Amino acid sequence: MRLALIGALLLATTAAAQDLTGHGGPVSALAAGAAVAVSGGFDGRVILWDSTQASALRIARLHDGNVTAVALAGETRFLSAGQDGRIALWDKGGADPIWSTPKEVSPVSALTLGGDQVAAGFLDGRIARIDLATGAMTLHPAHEGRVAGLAFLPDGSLASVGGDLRFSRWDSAGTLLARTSLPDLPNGLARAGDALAIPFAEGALRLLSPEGEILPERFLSERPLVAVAANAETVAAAAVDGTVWLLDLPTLAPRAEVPGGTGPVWALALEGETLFAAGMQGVIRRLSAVDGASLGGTPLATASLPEDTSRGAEVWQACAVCHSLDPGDHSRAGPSLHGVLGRRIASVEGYDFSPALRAMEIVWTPETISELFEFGPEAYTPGSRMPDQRVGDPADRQALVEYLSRFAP
Amino acid sequence: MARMKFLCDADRCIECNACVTACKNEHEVPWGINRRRVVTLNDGLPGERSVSMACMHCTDAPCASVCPVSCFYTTADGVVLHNKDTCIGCGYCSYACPFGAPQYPQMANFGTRGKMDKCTYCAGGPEADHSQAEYVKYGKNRLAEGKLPLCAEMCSTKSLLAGDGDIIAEIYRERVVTRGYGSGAWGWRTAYGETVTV
Repeated sequence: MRLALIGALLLATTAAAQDLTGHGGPVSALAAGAAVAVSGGFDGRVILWDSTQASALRIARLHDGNVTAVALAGETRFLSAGQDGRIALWDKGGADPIWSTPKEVSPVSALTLGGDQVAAGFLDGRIARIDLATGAMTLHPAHEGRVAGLAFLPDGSLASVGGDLRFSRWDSAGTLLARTSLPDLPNGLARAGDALAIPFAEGALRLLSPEGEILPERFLSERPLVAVAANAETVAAAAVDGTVWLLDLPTLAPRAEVPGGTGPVWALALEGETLFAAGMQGVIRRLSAVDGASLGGTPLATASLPEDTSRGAEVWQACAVCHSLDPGDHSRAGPSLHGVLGRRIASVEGYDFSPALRAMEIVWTPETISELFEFGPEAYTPGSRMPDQRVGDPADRQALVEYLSRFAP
Repeated sequence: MARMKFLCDADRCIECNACVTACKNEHEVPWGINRRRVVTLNDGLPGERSVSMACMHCTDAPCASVCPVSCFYTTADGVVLHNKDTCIGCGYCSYACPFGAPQYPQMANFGTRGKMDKCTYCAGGPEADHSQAEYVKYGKNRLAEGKLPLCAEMCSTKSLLAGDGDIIAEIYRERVVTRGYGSGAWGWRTAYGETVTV
């Protein structure tokens, strides 16, 4: 009995310390609560995690393209937003979202939750206010350029930073309460105790008062900072080279630096003494918020190199972010291409193809694959979710087909 | 070989937006996209300054380092261009760019992954110089004609300078020495990793 208890404890400890793996490609958005976390990525999936067990509780798909922002609404409900401009509220159970907003012409670039209000910022500078209960949405212009970050303040007002190098505060009706200029391009916004933490493209992390006054600032990097997370004691920031910093509040005294080397970290989330960090690598790493030590233990992988040095391998690199060559690996944005030659279009099991592709009669041969990239998916397979990539050089198309015949037989 | 750079002297910009208009007209940039924009800081307050922002063609371009399909390349002149045939519209370059340069079409549903668009330094793209395909995707290739970017050519106060980095830095140095002040080489250090020493 005692051995079983010790075993169960060890298992739980091991699971609790694990990194979160499941996205098939870069992870763009993260949020964490006491026992759950939610993430979104370039594979178009939104995953609700049991962060104590490091297991997926729910995998949701709604958005066309990248999932750009997520938020937790309690332990069982979560929000997602994407490149398609849609925002959705999900529950742990149920096939469909509780509500979702219509597609917009602009992607969602920021998302935050305050009480029963959701705020979303768009790449074109608008802000949407959404009622959490009903999904009813109102929009108002806010910035000239991307809304880079949003946060509700304790008084109920909404703080925003944008590509027009401005910090703004809005009331619940979308009326501008205050506006100040920022010294550089902001790349996020997080509540940091009584202040707001903003990472800047020039590599600086700054604290702002709710009135927009610049408090302490610290230059962390020569590279742009692209992610931030904070709580009352700690602020974390990450740069495009993947370096992560932990700093004390309110002084911004550096506490720890976690070296990069595996590509950009696009999203951070702080929960208690754990920092979740995710980006190009696709793994949600679990770090100590105290000293930056890796808790998850997943080895840092460098970018995967092509398996040979042919021109075909170079051309394939542009496909590899969306397609795997492993049999049955449909975790990425597109299906596995293992065995694609000789297969009818949209016929492989386990991937949710668009109806347009399912209705087509194409069989993938060296000739049809070459034609696909000569004319582009928009013309050759209209209705496909595939980006309109083309390979203009016939020799490159031939090299790609030869590569596929070698590695995706 | 020249190392082409932009220099925006924020002490001279009068926020006329001629650079924005010239660019849009020269390249027939689609609705919803401005490859160049003018941002005014401290608008209406003491210390108001404007800066003309676009792709600065960085020395170690962050956009290129984060592109998952490696669609960016740097020309022999130091101009950072991208191949729209390879771009998948993932949007990561827009998060990495220190100048907010990458733009995306708003006419279509972005879920279809519209191609990223940005300043080309009037240097076209990977297609043959002056070809119709190059013009449609990237706009005019003035550099291949021996001309500099039209935004800088149109700048009435010569706030925006384009050309070989050493030459425009020297022009800026002379300017600062003559007028006795200067803090306007906005973004130079971020883009090129060095300061314009005066």
